[in-house]
Amino acid sequence: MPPDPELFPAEFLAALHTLHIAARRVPAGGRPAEQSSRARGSGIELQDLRPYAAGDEFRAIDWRAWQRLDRLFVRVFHEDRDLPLYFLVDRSTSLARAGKNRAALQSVAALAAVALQQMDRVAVYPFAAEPLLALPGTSGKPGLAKLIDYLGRLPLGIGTELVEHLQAFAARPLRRGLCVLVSDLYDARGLTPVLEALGRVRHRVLIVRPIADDEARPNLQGELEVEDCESGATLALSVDDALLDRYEAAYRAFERELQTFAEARGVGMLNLRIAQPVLAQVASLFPRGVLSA
Amino acid sequence: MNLLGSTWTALALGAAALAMTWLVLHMLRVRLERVTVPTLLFFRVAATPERPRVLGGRPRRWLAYLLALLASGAAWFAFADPVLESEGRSRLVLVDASGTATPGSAVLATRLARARELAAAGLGPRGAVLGYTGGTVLLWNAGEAPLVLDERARGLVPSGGGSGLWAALAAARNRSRSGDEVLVLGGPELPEPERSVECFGIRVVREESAGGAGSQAAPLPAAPAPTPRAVAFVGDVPRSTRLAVLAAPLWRVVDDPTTADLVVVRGTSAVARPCLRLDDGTGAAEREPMTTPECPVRLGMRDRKGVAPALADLGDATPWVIDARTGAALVAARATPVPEVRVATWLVGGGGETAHQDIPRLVLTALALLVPHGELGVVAAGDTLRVPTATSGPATIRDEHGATFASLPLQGRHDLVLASPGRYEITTPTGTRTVEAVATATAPAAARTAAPLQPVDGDGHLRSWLLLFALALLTLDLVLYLRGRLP
Repeated sequence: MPPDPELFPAEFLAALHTLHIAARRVPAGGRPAEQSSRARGSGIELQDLRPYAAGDEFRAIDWRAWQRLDRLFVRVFHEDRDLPLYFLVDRSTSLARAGKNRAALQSVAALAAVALQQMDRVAVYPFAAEPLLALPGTSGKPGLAKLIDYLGRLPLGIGTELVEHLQAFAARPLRRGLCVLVSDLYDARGLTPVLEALGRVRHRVLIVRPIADDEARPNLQGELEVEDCESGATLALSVDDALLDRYEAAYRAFERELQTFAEARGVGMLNLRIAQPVLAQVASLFPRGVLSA
Repeated sequence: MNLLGSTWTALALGAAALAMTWLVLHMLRVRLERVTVPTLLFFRVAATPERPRVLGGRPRRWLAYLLALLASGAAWFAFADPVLESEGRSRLVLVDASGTATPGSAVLATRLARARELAAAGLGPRGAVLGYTGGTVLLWNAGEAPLVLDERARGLVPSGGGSGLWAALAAARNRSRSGDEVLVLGGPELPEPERSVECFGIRVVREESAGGAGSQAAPLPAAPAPTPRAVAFVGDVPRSTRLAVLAAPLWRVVDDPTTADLVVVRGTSAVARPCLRLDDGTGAAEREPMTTPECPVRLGMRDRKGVAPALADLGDATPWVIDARTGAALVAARATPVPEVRVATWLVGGGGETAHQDIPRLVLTALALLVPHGELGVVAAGDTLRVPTATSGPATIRDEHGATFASLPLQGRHDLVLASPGRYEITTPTGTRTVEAVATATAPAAARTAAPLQPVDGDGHLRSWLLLFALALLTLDLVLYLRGRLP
């Protein structure tokens, strides 16, 4: 089935191949892939020589070293392993607004495409108040079509329950990898419990926050009844510049708290502006064509 | 009086007006536009002091407040009909329509013609023509066409109770200001012989004859003050009833029932005098008092009460007030053997209940019917005399020669016209009342003419301007609201 052209235009899909992802550190285990790891194994890049010991593979003996040194050494290679990528995708109503959904899914597709191209393993765990079907794991370049199709079918939920889902994910017995949280991080309880739950996640974390241009200062004026799109709670307000100033101050405080957390925990951050091309912003994560996540 | 005593039409109109008023107010409520946002997180932080309706705190939107204040103030002043002080003096013309100056008479016609002439010449911003008989009637107001004066003069009804000049002067005083002048066309004589006197703090000029053709109507003789009648209380008469009787100047309270003209008694003790009997009654049901056509006064009594007793053993008494649903009598009257009005005690506040607000009127009317005051009443010949006979059976009216002038049936209120001058006796089973019908006389008066009136022009009424100002303010308010400058 062809991908949804609204979500994933052809030029977007074509541009996915320009990105490359590399893990700063590949955890032990997993399948051979294009990520270099500290594990010595059967890769093609020579790492070291060590003295032959009984049981070593006969073909690993470096015969040239034997000729020079008259001793048996075996070649030790870097072994390339895959990097598991876990996408936690917020599917609450707030993400469905003002183009955030499209930007969020495109960012998932972009990052996942790069990972799949280098044989990394990708899993998607969407979350909302309602249970949503996860994509437990896919790998290899053919997996991209499967992922795109999956993302195109991913329904939107109503509530978020972000904290609960982060706690549940942290409790999953998964091999350590890169956890990409795609969410606006809006929870009625505030940012603090979200960050506390995020701190318990054992993986390296990259946060992708789709944000609108008027996120910090909504384009609203007058006598309004503002309604939370998820909870339905309302607030009668007389919106003027003074109130918007205070709104912006509260939003900036939210951003500062998030940034402080990210710096302290080594968490990557991408404020994904939904009005701008997604791919270019995702590419900014790879300063030299490599993602340091 | 209460709402349920009103007609259904009045009730419906009142309810409709109320509903319309509330609808308008409801439509004017602030309409909040609903906007869906991703989160209320930041709004809750930012908007704590920004709730649209808070009573405390520093007021905001001073412009909206100022506009509303100015518009309402302007409307308020407009309905007060202010006039400019600087518009010069005004004149108020009082036309005597009493005595022989009956509608259609030449005397009144002459006075009205003079008043019309003065009105046409201009009486100033507060100028008016007032006609006075027993009461005071506005015949013409500044700014109106003089022709309306004749039209309104047709509604003048002569009264035999005096000329009403002093009431008219008082009314003129209320309308006038310092420097204004009151011109009296007709009688009676003013306290001083001078043409111009100070009265109530205003200068009063009497112009008896416009063109020398006028005549002064002689005032009717004043009726003598009625003699208070004695009333005694027997038994535990509720305080509200005692107060109602004590407050009426026509009654004096005596201790000895045998010397009283009338007795207010609670209970069943027999009395040989006309009495108002407070009967504790029997039975118990929800009572909704309703007056019957036989009741001598019109009362609004359709208030639902709690469970209360009604009168028993009505006999030949005529119900005045009944329970609307069961028909049980709550107030009843009979003429024989002793005139008596019986009232269920709870209606007058017995037993700790609150007396119905119309009960004092009913009680005093009953007392007046039980023992009519026999004083000499004076009416103008040709005037209408109202004779109630609700409790006293048939009434007979005889002239001063003993001839029966009229016989009135048992119940109801009857209007008599005593056309010929003379003394009349109205006899009912409970007493006799004397009425004297007097002919109004005329007396020639020296022709005196007021100084020529200085025409005063100019309206000076600010009502229209104030209303326009209020409208302009409201329009400005609307424009600012539509542009989002005002909430």
